[in-house]
Amino acid sequence: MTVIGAGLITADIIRLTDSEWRLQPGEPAYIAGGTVCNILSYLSAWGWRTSLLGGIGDDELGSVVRDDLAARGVDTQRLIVRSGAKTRRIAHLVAARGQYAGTHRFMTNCPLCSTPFPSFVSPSVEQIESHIPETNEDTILLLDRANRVTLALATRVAGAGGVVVFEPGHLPDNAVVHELLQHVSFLKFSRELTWGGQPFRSRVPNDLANLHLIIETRGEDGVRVRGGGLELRLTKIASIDSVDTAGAGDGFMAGLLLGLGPARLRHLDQLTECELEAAVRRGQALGALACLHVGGKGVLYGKSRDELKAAIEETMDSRAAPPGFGSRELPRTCPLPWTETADVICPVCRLARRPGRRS
Amino acid sequence: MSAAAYPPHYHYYVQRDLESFWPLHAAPERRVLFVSGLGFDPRCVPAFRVMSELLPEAEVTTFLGRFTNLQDEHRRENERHAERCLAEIRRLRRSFSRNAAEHHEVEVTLFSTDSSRPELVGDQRLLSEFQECLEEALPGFTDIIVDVSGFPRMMMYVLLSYLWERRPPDQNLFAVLTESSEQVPIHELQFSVPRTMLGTQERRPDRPITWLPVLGGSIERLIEIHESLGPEDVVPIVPFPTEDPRLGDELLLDARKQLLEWEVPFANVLYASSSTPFDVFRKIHDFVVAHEAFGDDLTIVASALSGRSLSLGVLLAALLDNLYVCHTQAITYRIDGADRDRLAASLEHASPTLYWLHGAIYGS
Repeated sequence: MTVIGAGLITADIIRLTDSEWRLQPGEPAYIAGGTVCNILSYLSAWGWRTSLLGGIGDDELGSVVRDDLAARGVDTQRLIVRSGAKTRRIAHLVAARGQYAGTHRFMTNCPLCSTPFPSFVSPSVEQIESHIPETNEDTILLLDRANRVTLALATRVAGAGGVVVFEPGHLPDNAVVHELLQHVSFLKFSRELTWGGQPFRSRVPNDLANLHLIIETRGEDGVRVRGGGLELRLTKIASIDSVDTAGAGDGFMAGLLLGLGPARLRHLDQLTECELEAAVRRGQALGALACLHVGGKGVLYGKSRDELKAAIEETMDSRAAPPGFGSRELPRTCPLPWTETADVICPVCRLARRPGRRS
Repeated sequence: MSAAAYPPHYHYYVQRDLESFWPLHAAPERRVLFVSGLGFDPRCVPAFRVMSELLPEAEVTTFLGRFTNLQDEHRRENERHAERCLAEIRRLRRSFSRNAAEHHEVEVTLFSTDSSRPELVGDQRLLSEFQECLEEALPGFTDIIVDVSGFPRMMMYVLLSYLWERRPPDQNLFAVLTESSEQVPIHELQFSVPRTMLGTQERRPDRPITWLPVLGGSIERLIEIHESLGPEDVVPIVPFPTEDPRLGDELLLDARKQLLEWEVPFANVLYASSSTPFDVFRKIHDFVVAHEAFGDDLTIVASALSGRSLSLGVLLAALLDNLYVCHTQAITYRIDGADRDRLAASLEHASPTLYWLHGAIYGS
């Protein structure tokens, strides 16, 4: 079985701040980000075969993304590297202390030099075509975007008998979403997600023949699970001292997929209530543990797989994360592809400084 | 017969075992909502079993409240037993109509975790989830059956009062209760902050409180609620008759010290059947009517510290006479292993009792 991921690929630039969102001294951390990248990283850590489709630039942060994912065990050979393009990046600020401790902000401009981050033109369907691995009934396709590329991928994978898992973070107001949903077997979204200005939960069609499992995450209110005529609402793990909640959703999804396992993922329509609930609980546990580390998948950098597995079991049993499990340290990744920074380059966002701007 | 011609509430009533009642009541056009609560107590299973046998092809929607208590000192053991009950309920539920049925399972955490003394928060969470799941669909049910056997008292009150307030005239509302022939001690340790609920009459400092506690359970709970309310008058209700004819005496003896300390005259003691909720309803209702006739300006608060049958009667009185109810929820439960096995064994062929609370038969 192979899990193919396609969607948002970013270089997350992580900085710690005080309670007023002022940058704390210290170097940023740079890790690959985006829902699909994070989930594939978790799955790879558990030995699943994963492959990422998409595009990056041929710049420093593109190297960071590829090296980081490769170090996590994700196959990055199928990434399209655009010459001259800047890899998509996002600033991830984490409040380390004060009343906002544990919360985060995402920014699309540099927190140091204020330069707006350039957009990245994603590969087209034609460009992606030659990079798609073989697809069959053992293929799991993981998507976090609805566009022509992901629709083409979903059509192909569903047509080959594979499973399409869709976790949108954003939905365009067009027909692509509706077409994509026809191929989706497993849909997961946040209660806050809107589509066309309305809550997405109220717009999910009731007549999707392939859709066997729907999960809605509801923050403090836990999760809502629908499948096989059952609606199951489960409470969240008891409040913990979160360090960074940015990783909660991806950690939850990864834990849930791991809990289901490849065999049950292929037969979502045959899940028993017990299997489904156990997988959701596992997802909740990993999501809770992810919140105790900085970054969208920071827990993977600070803990071994065995440590993480033991912590998941303990969290599931006690409904609370093990004491002392968290860390406020920035994730330390692969060696960065630069050792010095020219004056004309911002040391944080790695873009050319705008004339007249200094840190 | 016009509504005005019907006798007052529960002058007559329907209380019958579920298995013999339902075949007489069933009809193809009935759309049933079956509500139940799941905890460690295996009494939550028999009604499901009976329903699965009686309604395999009917259109039945189910709602199962699952109560998680993170403050329970015996949580792991109690959760293991709750999981067994859940597995059995899920197995039985598969026999309900497969195509049209909707099943809802909603987990709620009973108590807050952010205070030194836990407060019950699960009741409001249960209600908001229930509303989200079923509020729109509620008027479409011809029959709503609530199995109160596995519900913590205050959760039962909140949900039943919600259904009561929103009942359309032609909808039947039933409560179902499974009781065991075995008297199994369930030790309740530690209690949440007492809470007063349901009544809407303005509570003023100059309006004295008369408290009607149905005796039973822990004396600690009796004292907690008394301290919380500070009533001027106490009218204890003793369950009698009961299956054990001495139970009423024992309850009075257990509470004797407190009743003497509170200077409760023996003439205040009322008696109500432990197995007929409509009887305790009648006793409380008659008390209220009598005091209203005297023009007494009282705030009447009832508490059900005994079995669920009596609790149901207290609830009916609260709903129909606009009374307050004060209760405190046990935080930790302990059942000894042998007692638990005895309880489970006694329920294998248990016959739940149905109480018809609202419907056309009462001229609703």
